[in-house]
Amino acid sequence: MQRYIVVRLFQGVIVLFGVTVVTFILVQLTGNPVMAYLGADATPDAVEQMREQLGLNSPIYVQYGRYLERLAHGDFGVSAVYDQPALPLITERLPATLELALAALFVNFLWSFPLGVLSAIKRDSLLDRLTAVFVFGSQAMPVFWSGILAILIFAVKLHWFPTSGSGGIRHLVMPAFILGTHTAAYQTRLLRSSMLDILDQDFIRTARAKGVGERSVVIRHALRNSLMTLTTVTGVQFAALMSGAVVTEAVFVWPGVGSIAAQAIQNADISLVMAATFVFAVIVWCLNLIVDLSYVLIDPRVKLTS
Amino acid sequence: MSSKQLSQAQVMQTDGTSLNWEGGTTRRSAQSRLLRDNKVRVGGLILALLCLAAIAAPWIAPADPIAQQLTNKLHPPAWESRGSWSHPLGTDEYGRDVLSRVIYGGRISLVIGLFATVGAAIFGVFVGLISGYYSGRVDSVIMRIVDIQMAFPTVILAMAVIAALGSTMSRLILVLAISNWVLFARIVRADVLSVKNREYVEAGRAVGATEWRLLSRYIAPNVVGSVTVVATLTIATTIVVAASLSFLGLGVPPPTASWGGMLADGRDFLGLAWWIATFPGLALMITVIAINLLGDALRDVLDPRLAAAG
Repeated sequence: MQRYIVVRLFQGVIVLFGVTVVTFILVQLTGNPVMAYLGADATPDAVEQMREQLGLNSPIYVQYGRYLERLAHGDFGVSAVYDQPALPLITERLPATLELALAALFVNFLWSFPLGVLSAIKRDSLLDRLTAVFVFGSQAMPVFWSGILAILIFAVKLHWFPTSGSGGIRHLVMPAFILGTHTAAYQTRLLRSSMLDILDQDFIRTARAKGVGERSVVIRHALRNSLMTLTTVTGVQFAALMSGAVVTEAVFVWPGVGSIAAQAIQNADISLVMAATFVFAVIVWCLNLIVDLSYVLIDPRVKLTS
Repeated sequence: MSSKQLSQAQVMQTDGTSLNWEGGTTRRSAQSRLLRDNKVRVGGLILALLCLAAIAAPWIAPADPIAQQLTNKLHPPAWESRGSWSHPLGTDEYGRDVLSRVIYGGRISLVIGLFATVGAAIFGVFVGLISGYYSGRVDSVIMRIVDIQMAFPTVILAMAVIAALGSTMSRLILVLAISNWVLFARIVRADVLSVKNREYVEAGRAVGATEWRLLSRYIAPNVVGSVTVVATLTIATTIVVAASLSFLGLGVPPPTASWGGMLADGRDFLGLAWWIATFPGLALMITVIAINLLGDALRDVLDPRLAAAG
């Protein structure tokens, strides 16, 4: 078990390094910073001096080393638009994004748990068919489209909820509902097939043969075994929720990381974009690590084999 | 198809192995099952119409999609009281014909979805074959790269790359291909791992088949089913992601019509002109549903294992 944890942590660190390499390369690709500072008509001498000053004449691995050092100090450069360090601008908006993502995850569970489990138990019933329609429909409704429809109907026409912004539960309802419902499609589907798989197995048959009640078969035997799938999927879903949050935040003008990132892209504010990218990647990375490690708790087989 | 052939196909499904494309019987039965599936018929028909509209756009679109007519702006669709049939789905805030823009936008969506997916599939299949076949160190290096890639949610990776490089159609396709190759690599690797030690591969090796021949003739045919399924479903998600990027202002630059871009424009006029955002949204939804129907049916027939995995 310890070996498993150590291996996972080690792999996690490699992945984190990879993330820094990717953002470093992207910053390199953004073009010539010297020209951005000095303008296109700078003299060759001035350009050379600036290059030396910015450390651009050092070998690329030295530049990467310096980049890592800066990242380690939380220095992602200065946002060109806000004229402030980029990282705090992102982290101060993180709570809003996490609030939205967690609320959406809650909505997601509200849909996927009952629908996934019931449609598996009552296979080929009307409910199963309706679930399939729900899955198809919500997959085909990207958040910016369903979000706009929701604003049109529930905010513009019916005035039930505010069109955009944050502040209190009424602001949270629409974005969380839209994002949660969209992501629930995949989870519902996976939970259904994982339940179907498990309900078909010998130990379920044994339990039934022993006279265990149907409710107990489903809850204590089947559902518990599909927890593993559910944990994995929830980890993956969180990545999707983060992607979705960027778009959802843009639709509802939710003051989170996503909306500032979208804005930063339109302003070509590279430091801010990279800080946001990095923060998002680290969140997803952490979640995947937590999911990997939680297998130790959920699945005794992991303990035994490693 | 005789009942014997049918039961053969069913047995192959329930025992969890992938269908063997070299068996003529299985292939024929798969084809005929596909053609009789309602999902395939409906999805295929809608998709065929969409493709036809995309190809014939210059001839069927009632107006130039980017020509502005400021005297004609914010006209409602034909069936509304102020509407007229010269602009069946109305006009936007610049007086551009919404129907024409939806048709041309479909062109962009389909091209991006198709090319990005083909790019991702080619690269992903290649990497997956290598990774699964050679295992060992090559495999673990490739799988770490896959992990790194997975740490970036698609939209965010695409956002970062486009913010760094600027947006053109070919870059958009490239970025989306890069974000999706992992899907193919993983599924192909898993397929290869499950067949590479089978007896017929051993037999091939024993009669002196070269590694290249083993990979291309003995192993690769087994991944065709799952790759087709994943590719179909990926086209749909790619179209959605591309539209999301356009919505965020990162897609095909204006004034070119794109569904995501139209939705973003329409958002500001929701109370005033609901039709600007509604029709591209509907078009997007119908396209995605059609592709997913097709993908779903393909999965049931070509890759029962995937069907079981959701």
